[in-house]
Amino acid sequence: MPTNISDHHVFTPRDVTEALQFMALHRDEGWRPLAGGSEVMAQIYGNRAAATGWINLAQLRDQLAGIHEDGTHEDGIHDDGWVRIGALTTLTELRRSAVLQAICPLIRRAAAVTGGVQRQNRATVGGRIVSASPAGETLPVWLALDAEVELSSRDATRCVAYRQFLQEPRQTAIAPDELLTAIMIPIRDRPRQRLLFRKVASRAAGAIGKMVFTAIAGLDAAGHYRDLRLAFGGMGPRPLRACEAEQLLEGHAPSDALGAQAADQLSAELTPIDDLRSTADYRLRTARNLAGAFIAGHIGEQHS
Amino acid sequence: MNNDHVFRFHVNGQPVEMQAPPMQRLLDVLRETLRLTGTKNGCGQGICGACTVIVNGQAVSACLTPVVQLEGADVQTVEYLSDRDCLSSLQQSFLECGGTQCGSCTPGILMAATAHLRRGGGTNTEELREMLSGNLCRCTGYIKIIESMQQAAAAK
Repeated sequence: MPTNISDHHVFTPRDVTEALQFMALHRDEGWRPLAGGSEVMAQIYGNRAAATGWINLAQLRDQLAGIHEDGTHEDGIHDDGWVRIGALTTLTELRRSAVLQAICPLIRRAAAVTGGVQRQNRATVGGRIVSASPAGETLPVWLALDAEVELSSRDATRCVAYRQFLQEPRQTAIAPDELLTAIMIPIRDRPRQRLLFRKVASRAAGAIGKMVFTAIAGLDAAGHYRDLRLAFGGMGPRPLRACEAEQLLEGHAPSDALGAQAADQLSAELTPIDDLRSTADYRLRTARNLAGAFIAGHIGEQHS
Repeated sequence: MNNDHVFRFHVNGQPVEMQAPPMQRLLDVLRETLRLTGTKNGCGQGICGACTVIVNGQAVSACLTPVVQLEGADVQTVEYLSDRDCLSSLQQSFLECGGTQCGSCTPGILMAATAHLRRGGGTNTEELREMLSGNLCRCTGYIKIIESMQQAAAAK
C-alpha cells in the first residue's frame, strides 16, 4: 500500500481546452496527466509515483481517442498522407483497427503482447509514449514507422519526430504544460515489404520484455533493401533505431553473409546492460541472431 | 487535507454513492468498502489478473483502476455471475471440467472469460490462450480452464 493514498489529488477537466488551461496555470506544480492509469496506479501503489497531483483525462476520450485516416497535422505544414492516432486510444483499439492493420501489421502485433487483455483495455497509446519504458513494446514500432508526436499546450501545438522526442531513460521532450494529443503515422507509397516484430520475454505478453526487435524492410524490383528500418527496445537507455546498420545494409540483397555483417554491426552499435530481467550478453546475442536472420531473409512476414 | 470526492457508479446492478480518495483502487472499494471479497488481491500490479472485473463491458484489473475514473461506470464482479444458487453456464463448466483448483485465479478468469464470450470472442484453443494472457494460474496448466470455457461456449 502507498504511504498515504489521501495525499494524491486529482483534477478532472471536461475537455482539452480546460486541461491545457489548467496545465498552463499550474505548470510548475508537478501535475501529471492520468490516462488509462495502468502505469500510474502501479507506481503509486508501489510507492514510486512521480507526482501526487493528477490530471484525469477520462472525459477527454471523445476528443482524444480514435484512429483517423488522412489525418492532418495541426501545424498545417504536413497536410495529408498521415494517419492520426489519438493519444487516448487504447491498445485494444489499436489491435482491432482495420486501418492500422492495412498500414502496418506490426502495430497489432506489438499491442497484442503489451500486458494482458486487462491492461490493453485501459492502457493508452499516449500513456505508453510518455511513460517511455525502455522496453515498451509499441515504442520501437513507432520509431520504425518514422512517427511524429503532436504536443499541445494552451498557446501552441507542435509536432516532433518521435525519434527526437525520446531522451534519457523514461524522459521525453514534453514540457510540463504540454499534453500529448496524438501520434501521427506517415503513409507512404510502399514497395514490397518484409516485416518482423519479436518480443523476447519470460512470458509472451504478461512480462516486461528482455528485448524487443522490430524491422521494416522495403525491397525494390531487384530484391535489394530499400528504406530499411531496424528498431530495438531494451537494448539501450531508450528505444532506438540502429541507424548505422540501416545505412550499411541499404541497397544490398538479403544473404547469409549480409546477415552476419548486420550482426557484427549491431555488436558495435548497441549498448545493452545487465539488469534483473536479463544480461547484456544475452540481449546482444538475441539481437544479433534475430536481426541477422531477418537480414539474411530467413524470418519475417511479407506485406504489400 | 481531505481530498476525498463523492463518486457515483453501479456495482452489480446496484447504484453506489461513496466518498473516497480519488486514487483509491477499485479493488479496495470492492473488497474493503463493499465487502465483495470474490475479487482477489493478487500482485497489485496488473499482472496476475486475480482482480479482474468487468467495467463498461471490458475486462480490467481492479488494482489498476482508480475510483476517479469510474464516475457513471457499470462495474460487474464475480458475485454477479450466479443467480442465487444457480451458477452461470461458465461457472458450471469450471465445476464440471475441473477448471478450478486452489481457486485464487478463478474469479478473475471467470470475469475475463465472461467479457470475452459476451462480445463474441473466438473460442478455439489459440484464441482462448491469448485471451488468458492477463491471468496467471499456478495449479491447472490452463488445459482444464480452456476446456471449461469451450464447454460453456458450446452450450450456448
